[in-house]
Amino acid sequence: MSTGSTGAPATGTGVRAARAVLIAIGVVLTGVGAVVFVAGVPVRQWPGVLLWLAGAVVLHDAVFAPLVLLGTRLLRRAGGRLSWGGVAAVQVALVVGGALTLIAFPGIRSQQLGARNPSVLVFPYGLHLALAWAAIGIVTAVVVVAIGLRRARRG
Amino acid sequence: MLVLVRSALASPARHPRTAVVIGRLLGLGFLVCFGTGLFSHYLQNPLPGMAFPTRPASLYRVTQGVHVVVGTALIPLLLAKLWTVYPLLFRWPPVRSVGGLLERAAIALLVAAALVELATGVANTYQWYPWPFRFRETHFALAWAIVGTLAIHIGVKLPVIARWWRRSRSIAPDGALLPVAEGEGDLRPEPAASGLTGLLQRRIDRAAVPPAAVSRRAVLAATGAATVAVVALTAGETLPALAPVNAFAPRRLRYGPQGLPVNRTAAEGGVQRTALDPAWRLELRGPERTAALSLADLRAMPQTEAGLPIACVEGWSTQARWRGVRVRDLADLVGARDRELLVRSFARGAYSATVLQREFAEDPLTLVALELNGEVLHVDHGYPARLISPARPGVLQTKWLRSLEVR
Repeated sequence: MSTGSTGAPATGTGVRAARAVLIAIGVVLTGVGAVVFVAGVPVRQWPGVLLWLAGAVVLHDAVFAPLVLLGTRLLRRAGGRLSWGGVAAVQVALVVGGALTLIAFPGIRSQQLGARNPSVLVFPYGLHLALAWAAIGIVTAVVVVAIGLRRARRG
Repeated sequence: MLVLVRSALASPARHPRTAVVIGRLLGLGFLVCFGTGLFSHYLQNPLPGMAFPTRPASLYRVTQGVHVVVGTALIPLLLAKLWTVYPLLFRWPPVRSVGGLLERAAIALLVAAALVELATGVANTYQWYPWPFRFRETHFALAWAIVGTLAIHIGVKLPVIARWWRRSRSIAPDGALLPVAEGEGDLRPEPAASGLTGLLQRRIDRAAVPPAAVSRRAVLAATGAATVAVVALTAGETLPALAPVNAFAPRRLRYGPQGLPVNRTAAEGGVQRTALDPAWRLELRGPERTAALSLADLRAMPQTEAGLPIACVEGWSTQARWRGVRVRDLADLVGARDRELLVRSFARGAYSATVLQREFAEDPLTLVALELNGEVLHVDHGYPARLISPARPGVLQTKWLRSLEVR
């Protein structure tokens, strides 16, 4: 980052050299990945790995991200009535709840399939997730009302 | 069409500065996971000539705890990073040069590998394995692919990263992000289109957009809060300070028989009958002599107490008090001191024979444990005798011992 403070686009020799080194290291490390993959994963499992890699990208790019976009547009439409601070609070709440849902999901699913012994999967994950969403909802409602009241008082 | 998609995706927070702020945390996190992951991998599969530190005794507890906690934190960070750069997916033309094609290929591999690595990693800690491939080998190979393509990605983007690294050069006094000039990054405002596309674009743009400062702060606050939440509510399975708020982790601190979680039970190992057989003997095979010790013989030997954690590759860990016979004292009986030992269990399946490297065999805290937390070992913890040693993964702390052998 030697050119970071000069204000000019970072295109000096130092930066060029650093880029070349990083890309070369990256190619070598990726190559190691390919070698350990070939050495460690049986050929008959390769289609499964490829399917998961492609499936993850498709799931994110074609399902998850468009849903997030849709949610954002709907929220913004409601935002006119709510104040932008209120919209932001709701957005933060949805992201936190969404992240907890992602974390809780494998617990819920694995529990359905049955835990190996009583010391694994020790919590009722579905119940905890519902409680977390309820808590997030209450806190968000309080924050949104507080923001609205403050705005109303300012006139 | 793509113009409209990009217009619809426009947000003041989708900006190179956001990508840098989240990206540097993400990059650091992946490096930490890579380092701790390599350590764990080579502890279990040492290359010839490798030796490992046996102190601090909680070393593996810390490294593997960090591996799983940071890996969990990377989930919201990765999704936030992908959200920031998502409009670039719809760039037109998709590639402009051979270099550009290779760059996009590297990014595609980086994104795919990162998503699969985190998703399978988290599911694995919950012992849910819905994939049709070997976890450990795939996790290991994808880790190399991630750090490799990450280095390529950072190399390609270095000028943009440098431009937006500092806050003072990125944010206006009112809290909004500075406009992106030519050559300063890809996430630039969409130019106005003409004709029907332009008409539709103006319709999309008419929808109210939050003030830039609010948008930027909302994205950072949401990412930060989500990261803190997933860590705070799961890390208690290894961090005592967070144990009271543990709500989503697969394990609880000190929860299980004798205050310790169990991975493989005696029933799973198929050892219920053998473990309780009074004719059980621990066989010692040295270079010249062999010995067979009964439980009474082992109890008659000098006993050592050790406070050592069980630290699982899955990220949970619990400290425990152990009492038993030093492995090096047993090695002395058959002239096997200062040697690598093969540790055999009478459980079936994976890890029924593991290698105890010389430095661990010699350590005065490495025990053939007979007691746990003041009681005779529970059968699910390896009765009649199990191995316990400092700074090693739980899968190598062999239960239901059959023999210690010089290889």
